[in-house]
Amino acid sequence: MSVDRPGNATAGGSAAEADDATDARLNEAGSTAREPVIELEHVSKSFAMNDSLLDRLLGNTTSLAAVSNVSLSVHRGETLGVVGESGSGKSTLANLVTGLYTPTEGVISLDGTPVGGATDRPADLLADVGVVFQNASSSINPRMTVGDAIAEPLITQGWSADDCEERIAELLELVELSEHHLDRYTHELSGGQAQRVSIARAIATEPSVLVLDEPVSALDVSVKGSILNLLMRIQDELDLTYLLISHDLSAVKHVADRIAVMYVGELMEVGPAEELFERPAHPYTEALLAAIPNVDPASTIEDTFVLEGEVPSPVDPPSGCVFHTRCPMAEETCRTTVPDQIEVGDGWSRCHFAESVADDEEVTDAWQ
Amino acid sequence: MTEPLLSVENLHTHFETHDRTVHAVNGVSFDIEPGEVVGIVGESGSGKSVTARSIMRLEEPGKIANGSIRYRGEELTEATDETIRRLRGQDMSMVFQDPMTTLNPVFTVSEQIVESLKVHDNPDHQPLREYLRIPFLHDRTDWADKRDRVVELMSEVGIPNPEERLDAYPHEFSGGMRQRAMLAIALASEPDLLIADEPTTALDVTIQAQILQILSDLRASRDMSVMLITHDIGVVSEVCDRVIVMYGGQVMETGTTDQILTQPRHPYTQALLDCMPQQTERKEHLATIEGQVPDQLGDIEGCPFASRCAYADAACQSAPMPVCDCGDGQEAACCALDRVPDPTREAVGVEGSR
Amino acid sequence: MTDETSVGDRVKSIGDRLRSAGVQARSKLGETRSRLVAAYHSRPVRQFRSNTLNVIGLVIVLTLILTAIFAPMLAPHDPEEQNLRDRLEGPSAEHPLGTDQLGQDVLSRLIFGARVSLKIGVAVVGISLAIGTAVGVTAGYAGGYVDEGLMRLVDVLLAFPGLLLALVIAGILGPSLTNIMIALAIVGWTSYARVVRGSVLSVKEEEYVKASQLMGTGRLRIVGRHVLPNVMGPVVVLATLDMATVILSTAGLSFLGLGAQPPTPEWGTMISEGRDYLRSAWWVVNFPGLAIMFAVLGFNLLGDGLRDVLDPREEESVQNKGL
Repeated sequence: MSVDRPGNATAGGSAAEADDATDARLNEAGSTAREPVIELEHVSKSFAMNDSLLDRLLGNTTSLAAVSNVSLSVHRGETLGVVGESGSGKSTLANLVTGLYTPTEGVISLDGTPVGGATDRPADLLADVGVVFQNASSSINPRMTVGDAIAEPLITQGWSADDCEERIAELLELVELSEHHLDRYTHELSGGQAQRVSIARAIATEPSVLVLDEPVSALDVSVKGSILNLLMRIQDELDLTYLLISHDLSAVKHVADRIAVMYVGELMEVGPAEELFERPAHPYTEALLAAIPNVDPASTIEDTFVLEGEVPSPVDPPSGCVFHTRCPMAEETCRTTVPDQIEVGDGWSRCHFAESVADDEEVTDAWQ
Repeated sequence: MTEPLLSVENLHTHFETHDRTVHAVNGVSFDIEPGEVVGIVGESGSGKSVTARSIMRLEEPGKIANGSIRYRGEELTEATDETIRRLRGQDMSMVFQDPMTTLNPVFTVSEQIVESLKVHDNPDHQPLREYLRIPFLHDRTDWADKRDRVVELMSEVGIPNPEERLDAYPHEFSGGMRQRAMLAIALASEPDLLIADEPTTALDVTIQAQILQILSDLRASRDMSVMLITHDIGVVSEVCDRVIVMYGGQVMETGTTDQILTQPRHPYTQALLDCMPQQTERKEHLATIEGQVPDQLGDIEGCPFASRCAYADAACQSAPMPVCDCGDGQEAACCALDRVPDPTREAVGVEGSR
Repeated sequence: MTDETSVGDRVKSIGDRLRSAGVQARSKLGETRSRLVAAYHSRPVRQFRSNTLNVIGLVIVLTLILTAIFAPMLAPHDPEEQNLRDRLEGPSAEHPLGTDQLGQDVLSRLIFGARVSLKIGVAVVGISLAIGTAVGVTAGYAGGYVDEGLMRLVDVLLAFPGLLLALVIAGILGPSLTNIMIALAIVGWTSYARVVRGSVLSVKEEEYVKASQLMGTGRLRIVGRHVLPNVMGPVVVLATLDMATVILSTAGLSFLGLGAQPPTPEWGTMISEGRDYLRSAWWVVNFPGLAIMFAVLGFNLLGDGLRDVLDPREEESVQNKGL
């Protein structure tokens, strides 16, 4: 097999060194480097359910709280990974940041300026945020050639035909595609190649931010790596900030600097990637990590902690701490009071017992 | 030596397209013993799903072009429709990936379990009028008998409060619950072999853990063999005793889970394991496999992985690969094993799930 | 000397240019030919020609079109030439399909009638399609009150029985081919609007439309580049089937005296004028009737065939089987 890796991976740089390198890169850019590129302040998004006319007249409206009271910031040059299961609200979060949805409450700011929905954003702001979707086959018009698809954002921004051509050639090289792909259609390309086209299109207008919604979930294992490598490389080369949404924890752990864990529309825990994985400070994070299939033949599902119960419906979320219905550590206070954000290490956790969860090895062992 | 429960030998399943033939399964052989859980791992295009369907004789519109499938010695490739129906009703069951499309939305879940029970009791006698529910001709005593059994099955697969859910329709169940319902339907026929085709791929990771636990429990309580098809090596590691690695319609390597994960001999298995993010330091470039999955049009001479293999030479592309015995039951289909480096490695788990 | 060589050179250079032009033209031709061959073997075309009925429909329609185009060359006589001596004569060598009550050659009138029917068909369908698509796209894409308003207008129009409404309009405007064209167009655009709106509603939700919106692409461009091309499939099918309806309606209205006026050769008019001779000179009525039947059949078969190919459905391929 052709292993696309510089030298021997087990020797050489450790992850801590990699983190230091990121820090150095960020600090080098000056004190303003750490300003949030994306900031969400107490953002909520509810959708009205289609009630009958009678219900609406009587005032019995049901609404689905897809995202509740999320405050989050993404700093320049970093990759923030947002993880969660179905119903967590992570996709809605991505849509809020890109502007496809507008928040029902709260403020979203890009580069310090509050922004509205996509239709209200000025052209240069739209050009500054690139989006990569999960499926290139549905996010690129199947009747458009690769060349046309990559050119579209440029044409919208008013680039001349010659400039477009030049830029497209540059982009193809960046994403490791060749000229003869220009005339192809997405259905003629492999999954990995199609996703490269998607990435090329997203970075066409030289954005500073990329929102990636499950960029590698639909790809085979052997191809996932090459796309993640590409994303890491261009982040360095083009100085990009990433908001990465994914349900694949191992992939996110590999590329993210910080990770935010969502459950039923709320943030459970946010923290640096390594710390979150080694010392999770929230029971849900613990459960998620425990559930990741363990590639250790000595440990089978019998030895693993399995979280019981179903994800509650966002139409009728549980009171107090949203996770209390499934939490093995839940107590009375969890049912009645919404937990505050408790600082743990370099991040925070929304659990009444955050510190003990993070510190207590015994507690975590009880989860096995 | 006891006869294996299922014996697949040199299976070839082909699909005819308008101008060419796709060799989806191109010479697959393996055995499944009673009571063991075997995982079939492969990426898209490896032929794992088609293999499973061929075993259940659901390969249409494909055709089994060659080879044999023997269940308890009975040859399935030439079996009559009655034989196959009997086997499906009493010996083999299958669970699919997306429970929303495999459960009939217009019948309640319990009705579908009952249907499976009826087929199990009487595979050859299924009169239409029993299914039409005509008011006075319908036999109601049947339902009373079956009701208890349905509740039993539903609790076995972990559906909470089954008595209250007897009248629930599939859309009223969540994804994990629906998958359990599918399992209940499959178990109603008391199978000795359960084939599960990507049963957890569409599910959240915590729900996946629940389903895998159920599968593991069921294997113990029912002494049932399970053939689990997946693209996720982690899933295989959690529940399977043995692993079969497939690529391009052929078997690359077989062995116990321990052998495959800690001493992979075949270059493809090694490459696949290397690709997992857990194997690489954070933020370092991940290992990948250059090239693309083959499209299997026409018969391929030699090893399907040769075009992407770092150790391949001319011999790899000219003749079918010999199946080499690597000791202790581990087998790899490779002619260049002496060139492949030392396979022993630490199996790396994900931090946090210690 | 220099003159000769320069002339010689010039001739040579002209020759070279001609030759390279010839080579280029031939390669262009070759390119087009190979593209056509590739298209012939492409999946949609193969799917189409796999069904004999589709091909029959296509053949009939092509025959009609060619007949209409080459009418003057195909018709043995002037369709309006009256020959009272030879009136109501049965099929003969001179008049393969006989003559009508005014001595006009039935075959020639039939051939020119194709021209009339197709002309009206294309005009009506064209106008209906244009108006209907515009309304459908606006309603579907804009949504809200615009959508509601336009769809209620469509509902009002659809509340009237189509042919009767056309009758009334034609009656008001006066009997002529142009007027029934207007009438049929007014009545016909509503189905297109509905079909287009439905398609637009679903295409609007596609991820690539959202991606385009996020790029800042203007509404008009999104509609033109992304929505319309993906919406036109069902519209083409509707247009083909509509041709059949329009031809039939035209014949019907002309039969009632509201459309083509004599001596214009039109199938419906021919039937109307020949009604009295149904038993004595059957050829005057039957052949136009058969012509209408074949035209409608042809368009219907073609439309059905196109629907199987153009209607957005997940294509059943080996890949989709989840290997």
